[in-house]
Amino acid sequence: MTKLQLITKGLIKENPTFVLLLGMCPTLGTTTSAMNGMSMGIATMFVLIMSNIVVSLVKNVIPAKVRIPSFIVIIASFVTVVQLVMQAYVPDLYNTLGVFIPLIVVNCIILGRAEAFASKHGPFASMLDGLGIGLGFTGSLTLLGIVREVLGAGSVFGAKFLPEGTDGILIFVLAPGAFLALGYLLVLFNKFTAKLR
Amino acid sequence: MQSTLKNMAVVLGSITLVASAAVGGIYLLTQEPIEETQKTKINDAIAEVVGGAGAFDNTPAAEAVKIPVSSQPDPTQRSDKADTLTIYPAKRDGAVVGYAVETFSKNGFGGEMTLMVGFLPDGTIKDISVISHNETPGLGDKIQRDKSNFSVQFQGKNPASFRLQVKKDGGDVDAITASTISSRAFTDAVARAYEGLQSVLKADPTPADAASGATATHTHSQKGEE
Repeated sequence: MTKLQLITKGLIKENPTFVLLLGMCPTLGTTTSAMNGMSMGIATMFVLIMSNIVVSLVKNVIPAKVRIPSFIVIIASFVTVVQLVMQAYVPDLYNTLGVFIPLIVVNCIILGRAEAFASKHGPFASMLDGLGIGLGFTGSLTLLGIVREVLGAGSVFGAKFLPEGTDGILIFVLAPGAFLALGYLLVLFNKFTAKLR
Repeated sequence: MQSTLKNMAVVLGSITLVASAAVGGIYLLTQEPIEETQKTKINDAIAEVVGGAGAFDNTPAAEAVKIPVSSQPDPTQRSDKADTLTIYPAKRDGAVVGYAVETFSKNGFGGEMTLMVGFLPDGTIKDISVISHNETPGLGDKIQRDKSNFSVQFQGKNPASFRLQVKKDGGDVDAITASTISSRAFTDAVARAYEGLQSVLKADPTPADAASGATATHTHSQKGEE
């Protein structure tokens, strides 16, 4: 696999949201708007890249039996760092994403990549893998956020295109709308990317 | 790598040690900005609800008074612990021009909400700002002023004559359509702020001296104990 393929495979072929269907909890919970979805994606991408690098660096000194606890500790530390930094510098975003930031720890994508990729490859390849999967995750969450925001609130990235005083189809901002939108996006994504894969 | 008790303990121990040191370091670095943003948020909210930063010339946060209140006035609800309201007096040339009361309700649709309610010295509501909430986007979040005019109806009303309950419960507050629970919680928080303010005004008729009042616990003196 070439270096470029390591990055691009996360976008379509191994898209974490639409193909692997991993990390559904933050996907459904945070995509009430395009901005929230994208921020969650970026926070996850940062943790993914950093944990992938560190895991690939220390993989040779970790005994097999304590592999998973070690990975979890590494991931949890980076998540805490992200949480503290967001709380300090982007408090509004931190309030919106709320409980989903600490929940990045249990996002299966991150542990999955640490176990399936970073513990078998070098740091540079692991970083590219984290970048690719992270971009795929960010892209999917942003897309889902855009769809839900357009339908639910009549705006894109906070810019309202519906006339003042009118609302969108509210259910798309609420929890059931997350499932509906994700379902339809899954269908469309798999229809149009079937050939590419 | 082969797992033995010794290498497992050593590796896991050193990883947790390094990780906690790193997290501790970041915590120290971000501690100050986090406190700073929280302070700014409170100060902005105070300025907003008592009529702009030019309306007063003291530092309300430095003269804040904390009073304990029961979080659940409804006896059917379980009351775990008593909480505190914080009352910030805004003064101009030594005379009180208004109070900002940081209040809360735990009965929101998404749990707790925190509001800053501005009162004129006679108890009339000046303005209300939402500090934090967990209400449903598109429904309950209309309690925020930039989302709907719900909170505007409180302006200029004195709770002595304006019944702080939604119309469905026999009060004077127009609830947000489809968000009665959020509206109720918001109203509940405002009512709690008013009650808290009344108790301070009654206990200490010269609120300008509240800082030395024996009835209220001062934030400064509390700091050392925390």
